[in-house]
Amino acid sequence: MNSKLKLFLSVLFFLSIMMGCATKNSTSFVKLQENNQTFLEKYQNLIQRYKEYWNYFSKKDFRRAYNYELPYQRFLHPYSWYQEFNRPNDQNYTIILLSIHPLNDYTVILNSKYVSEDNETFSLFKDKWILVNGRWFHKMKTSKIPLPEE
Amino acid sequence: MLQKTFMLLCIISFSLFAIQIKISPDKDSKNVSSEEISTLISNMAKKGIVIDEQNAKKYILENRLLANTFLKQHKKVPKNTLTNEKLHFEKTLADAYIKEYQRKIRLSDDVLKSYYLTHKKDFFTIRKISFLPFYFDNFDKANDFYQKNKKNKHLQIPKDHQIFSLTTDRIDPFVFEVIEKNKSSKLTPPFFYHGHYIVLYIQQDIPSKQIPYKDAKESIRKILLQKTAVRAKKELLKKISDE
Repeated sequence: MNSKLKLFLSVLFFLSIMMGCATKNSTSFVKLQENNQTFLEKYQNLIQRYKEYWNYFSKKDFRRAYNYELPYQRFLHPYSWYQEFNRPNDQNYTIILLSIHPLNDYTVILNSKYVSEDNETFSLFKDKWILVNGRWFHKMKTSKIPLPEE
Repeated sequence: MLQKTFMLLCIISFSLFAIQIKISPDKDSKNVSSEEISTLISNMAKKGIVIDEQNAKKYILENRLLANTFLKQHKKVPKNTLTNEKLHFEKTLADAYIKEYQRKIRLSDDVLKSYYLTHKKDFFTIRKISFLPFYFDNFDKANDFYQKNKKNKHLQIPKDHQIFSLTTDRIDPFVFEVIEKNKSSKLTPPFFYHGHYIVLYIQQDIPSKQIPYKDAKESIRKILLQKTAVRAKKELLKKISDE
């Protein structure tokens, strides 16, 4: 086998691995059901961040999801705490964005639905997102039971 | 047994290296530094007591004289007093060290602003009322003054009268209720309070308002550092034990 062929096969092998990774990463665990066109346009940056966040979260990529949490909450709760807090979350699921409810110019509530991989468990939940210096951040849950604002 | 011996050794070694406080009578007990005066004024202010420099100096000197005389007569400080002071002093130094450590922590604008945006209701100034009390020894005189002046929008304020400018949380609830009931007028009807008939002239009522982000930054920094003080303490203790 000449060296050019070897090089070609190596590149082919490398590309196939990269494509495999890319396909895996692009798997979406988030779907949109919200159809208010005005909201979809106005909040496209938020929706993009929401999709990225929940995709990372669903894939248990807490390191990346952590970067979407509110900056002051990240200061109060280091990543080691975040990882431990979310660790029991080992189910596979899909998140469906149902509706968008703006509270003010910089706060939005997103109503979503959790659907388990086997389609047997559903639950509705609310997410709060805050616009800080032009970027949307997720308000992290810091307790398993509801608590006053920290 | 081994554990108990180890604990005992630890306690002995701690007590050997603990901060030593020795107190002896002052060589010159009549001197009061400006730093001592300002510290006393600031400590009193935290308790809501207003004291001027002259009275602060007098207060320190009186206590100093009594304390020095006690030391000269009894030769030593009561044991409990010294223990309390030692523990208090160690805690003060430990807190100072944690604060010093936290001072180096940089908080980004995203961190500060995200806290502000999610806690905006915590950043309001307190409503402030400036008022002037007129004191009378009987109701008729007070009522006479009130009736003559209640429609006078530009009341002449005597030069020797003190105007109180207080946030509503510092106004006696009874007095505050009188002010609230007469919001629309500048003068309150006479009321009996602490042995006097009083008519209040409301000079200014500054409502509560949102503190802008730029003015709230320093408070937010303090709040966040306060919230993470326990973590900073753990980090410092680990750092010391690793050295």
